[in-house]
Amino acid sequence: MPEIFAVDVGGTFTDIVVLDQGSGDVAYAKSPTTPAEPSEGVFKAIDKAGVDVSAAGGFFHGTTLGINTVLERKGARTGLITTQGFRDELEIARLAWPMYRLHWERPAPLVPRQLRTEVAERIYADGTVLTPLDEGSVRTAVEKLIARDVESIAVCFLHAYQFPEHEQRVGEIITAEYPEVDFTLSHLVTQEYREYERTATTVVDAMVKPRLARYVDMLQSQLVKRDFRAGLLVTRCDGGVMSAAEVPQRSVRTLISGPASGIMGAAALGRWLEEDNLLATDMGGTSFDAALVIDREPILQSLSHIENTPLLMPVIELATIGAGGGSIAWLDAGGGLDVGPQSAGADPGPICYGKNGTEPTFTDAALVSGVLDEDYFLGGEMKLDSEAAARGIERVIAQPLGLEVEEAAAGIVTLVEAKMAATLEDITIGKGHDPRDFAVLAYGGGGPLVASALSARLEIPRVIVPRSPATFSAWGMLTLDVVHDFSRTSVTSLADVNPSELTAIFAELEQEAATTLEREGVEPDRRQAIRSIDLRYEGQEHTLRIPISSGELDATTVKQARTNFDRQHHASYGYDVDGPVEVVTYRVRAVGTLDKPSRPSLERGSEDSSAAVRGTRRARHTESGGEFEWTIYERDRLLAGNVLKGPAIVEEPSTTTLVAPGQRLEVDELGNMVVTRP
Amino acid sequence: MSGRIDPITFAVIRNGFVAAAHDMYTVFRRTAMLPLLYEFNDFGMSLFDHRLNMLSDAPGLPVFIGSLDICVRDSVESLGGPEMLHPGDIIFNNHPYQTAGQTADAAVIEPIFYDDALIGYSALRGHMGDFGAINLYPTNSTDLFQEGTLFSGLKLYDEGELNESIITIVKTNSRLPTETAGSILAGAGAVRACSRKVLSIVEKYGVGTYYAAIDELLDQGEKATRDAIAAIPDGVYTRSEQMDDNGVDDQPVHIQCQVTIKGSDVEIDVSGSSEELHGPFNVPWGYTLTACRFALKRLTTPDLPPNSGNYRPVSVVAPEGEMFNPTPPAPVFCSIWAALRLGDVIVQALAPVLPDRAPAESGGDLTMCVAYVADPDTGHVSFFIDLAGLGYGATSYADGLSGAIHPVQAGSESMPAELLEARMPTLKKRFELVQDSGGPGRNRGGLATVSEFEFLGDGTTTVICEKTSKAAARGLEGGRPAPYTNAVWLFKDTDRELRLGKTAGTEIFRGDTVTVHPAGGGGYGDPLERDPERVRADVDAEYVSLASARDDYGVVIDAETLVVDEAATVALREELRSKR
Repeated sequence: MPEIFAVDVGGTFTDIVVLDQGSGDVAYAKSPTTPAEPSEGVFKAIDKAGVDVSAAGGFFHGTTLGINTVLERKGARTGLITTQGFRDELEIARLAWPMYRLHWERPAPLVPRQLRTEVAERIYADGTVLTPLDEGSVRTAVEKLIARDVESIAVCFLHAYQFPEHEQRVGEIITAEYPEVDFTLSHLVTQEYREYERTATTVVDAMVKPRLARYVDMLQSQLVKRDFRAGLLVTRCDGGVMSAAEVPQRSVRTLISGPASGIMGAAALGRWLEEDNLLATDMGGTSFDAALVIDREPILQSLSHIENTPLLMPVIELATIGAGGGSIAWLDAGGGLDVGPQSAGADPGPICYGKNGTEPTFTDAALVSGVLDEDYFLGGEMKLDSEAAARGIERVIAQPLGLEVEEAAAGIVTLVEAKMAATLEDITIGKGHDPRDFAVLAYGGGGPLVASALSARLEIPRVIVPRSPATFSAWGMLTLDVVHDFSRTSVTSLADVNPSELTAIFAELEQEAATTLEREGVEPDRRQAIRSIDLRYEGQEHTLRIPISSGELDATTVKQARTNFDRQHHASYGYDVDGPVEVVTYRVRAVGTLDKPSRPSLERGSEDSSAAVRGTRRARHTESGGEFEWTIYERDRLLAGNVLKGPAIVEEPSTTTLVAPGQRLEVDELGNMVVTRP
Repeated sequence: MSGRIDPITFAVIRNGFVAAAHDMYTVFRRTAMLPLLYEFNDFGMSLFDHRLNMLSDAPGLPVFIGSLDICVRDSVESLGGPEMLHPGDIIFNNHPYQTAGQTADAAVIEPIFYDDALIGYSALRGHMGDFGAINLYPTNSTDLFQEGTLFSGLKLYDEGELNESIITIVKTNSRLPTETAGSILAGAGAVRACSRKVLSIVEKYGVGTYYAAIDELLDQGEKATRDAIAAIPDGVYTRSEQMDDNGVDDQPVHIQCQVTIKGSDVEIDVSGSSEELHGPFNVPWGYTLTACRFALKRLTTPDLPPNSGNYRPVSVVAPEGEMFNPTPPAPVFCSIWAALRLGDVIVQALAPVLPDRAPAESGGDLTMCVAYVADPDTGHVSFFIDLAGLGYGATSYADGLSGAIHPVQAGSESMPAELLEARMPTLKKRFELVQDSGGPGRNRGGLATVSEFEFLGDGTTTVICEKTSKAAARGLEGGRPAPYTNAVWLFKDTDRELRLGKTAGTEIFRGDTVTVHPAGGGGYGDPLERDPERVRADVDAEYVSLASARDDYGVVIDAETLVVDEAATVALREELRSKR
């Protein structure tokens, strides 16, 4: 059996995970990211891991190229074509601004006004063509944009989410007459309404498309040189993958795909462990991402944001706060302690990195508290300067607050943990879920360090630390399937929906699904179509997604959907209403099932874990109860069945796991560490 | 920092208060039944302790938030005091003299109990729909009773039991029965979500720590505000303005404002403003207080999450019987227009001593059109609203903000055309920035938007805006005013054309149009000192016309190449200066 491998390009490191499909063995490696030409870093990682590309059975790839292109505003020079009268919506951005200001400088629009053009056309909400498309005005607009050196054009017309004819015609004109420019049509990016949000999403796609297309080309030509014959699959923000050939058509779908892979990996691991509900928590250098996995499935949401830019497309729901290892501690105008969202990033990074950082960060605080080892960072590859970190905390935080430096350091750690806990509360309690029904899955470089405090705060019974937590998102890619979503928006009263019509709508969507999976090369026996409908009470705008069974539908299906909706509404918001319910959107998710990693296993040992002890260290951790002598374990020497008790710290090259006093850690047969509370 | 609570626990609890209010926000938006609520955020919500100190807020309308404490106080009083409250109760109130709003803005309040002791309130106030006023949005009511059915502090839920009678009365008296009742129930779900989170905090840290955190929070809020006030030179600053009219007759509407800064205290005295108005622009006392607090917040600590500590240094004087402290049943439906104007007057009163912060005047206020439109096929009536984007005054350091809602509603969002058209029989014809609508200046005033709609069904409309005639957005430090004032046009370019400030209940028919046309902001500094390159960039983006570049800024630009003719510019600027 050949190897398959997954490469996750992050801001600082490029992670690779290699799965030997025969033995089920998994190998991990990390190599520095090469921002100027990311494919270099990718192949360095591949070489470091010793992958024989010509014999490999598949290559999963996740990249932050798209999102960085947006954040750094380094995308293609992009023009916008809108319906007449609406070119400024992208700039006006729905009129909102922060409360309580005298003045506000709105972030510059993604496309400046001189590159926003309008054409005469108008379709109404019901599909009536009020103004036919003026093709002359299309040509004028495109030529004006080309004259201004635009490389890529976003086209967004009102109501194209349901009536795309005019956008399609513009696409034909550009393809035939102006082949030198890239373009993106809004209805191909998303079929949801709200023109500002759809326009922004379309613009983002147009901005990143040329760069991503070149990147994928480059990657593929390198792979051809190395005689790679299997498929290159690129990860998507909705938790699926698509073939590299699809990337130019759906570039924006690659954004936020890194965290999505991690959450999908969490769901896959949860299925092995028979954990129905997981809180996937990922702490990296700049942020903390948290997501729910409920009944072994992640949750999809239809609107998310990158900074101020809305993205109207299905994205695996995750909450992000600016609380990572590099997040900066500071005092506000009233003298209150706060941490983040500003981050010292990778450069200069925390003070303790010794790269001229001056602002104390979470990592500095963890080091001064003693929970991090200055000699074992990245497995000892990098020596940390704890004295400099202590001086920084003293100057900025401890001295103004009248605290001891260790006290202030422990306080910074506690505050970050509290913010993370509040985020977890938001996505659990805030949505009607009891956190005690979940287990925490802790990954990312910092996740296992804070998980013990998070579980204590939310009374979560178990924390699971997977193998190689720092590269877990890359591992998650190996668990992905080919996924495409199809939907039809048409608002009707649920009471008026007749079962045969419902069956017909789903049959049509499933036909589209089958065609796409066919194009992706998915064998018929590996294809799946998952149905759902979005429902709401008449008068509401937001919907709840209710699953629908497959096959022929009858009157009970409709009744059952109503009952399930009422129940879910009550569970989420504390009440339900006796009034009419509307169907808004019919959805089919097409899935092409790919081979998955087999269950790993770890050599079995006894309960005795003393062979893995490396020593002891004093450290202070407020949430654990103060300062203790912690036993230090080396993870690589732990065996399945080993048990250890807190206060203990388990170290591996890029991660530290904290086990508070009273907590118990057991290594399961897959090699996960499972920490339970008394 | 005091020794009452350790700074870490304090920071954790403070975050918890913000998260609690945010839960209320999320649940309300997801379940409310009017676009005005779930898209436009026409609500305010916050968390209070049982002494009515505001602890945190959530995005929404700042003016709603600042007055909720008085609303909670009066609601509880009308029920007979806190001892009449029990766990599971939810209070409902829409009496404007208690809620400090209008009848359509109903409050939903849940007392929070811990171990049978009252420890706080989760409260929100939102534009819930219609309570049966004389018309959909009276700009011409002459007493309170014309403004809708009044519910003065009632228990919507009594120990967890829904009082169906309230819902029945609401529905029976409403033009939007389902939406109004459904949104009130959504409000109840939302306040419960907030209370749940507060209780989780108190359960974890204990009630003593909860109160210690509140004391610290308010002290810090007060300190930050006092520091900012102390930085303003001591003195007495006055400003007065005229509003266009009172919506009913030609009674002059005069706003008189005196701001006294003394050390870290500020007194705002509005004595000498007009006597009680004959139309609905009177401002109930609680609302006046809010307007003053909000203006002060903008001037002092815009970036800090608000709490009642911010308000400790401020005292407000408003004589009873004047428009800023009327007595029932004086009409008040449109109080927000006078309240927000008062806030702007306070800011402008201090502008001369805050040259590095206070902007020039903004184009307008809330330039609004609302309508009931009936679907020609089904007869279903929908509530339409549009509030266009104003241009804001430029500052000493930047051009004014273009196309944004008035700061009193800064948390609101405009309605997408696609949603509007799918929801109700209207056609949005355009929504764009207006070239040259900002006042010229070294820093240019922000541009206004214009939006135009066609109604595709019959109905009635109310139009309301201020600053249509008596005051244009003035510039500062030599900056020029905006070129035109606010307006809403009905039936533009027809023989029925009307340019309006205020009108209530005008009949509209299928095919009629409305054009919402607010003004841009004033400029800051002499336009002849604006960097010609910035003028050229504005011309390139079509924010500014070639003619304005030449006549207002003295910059000569080639129409074809858009290159600045530097020599001609120097000469023209010289000539324009000499003509002054």
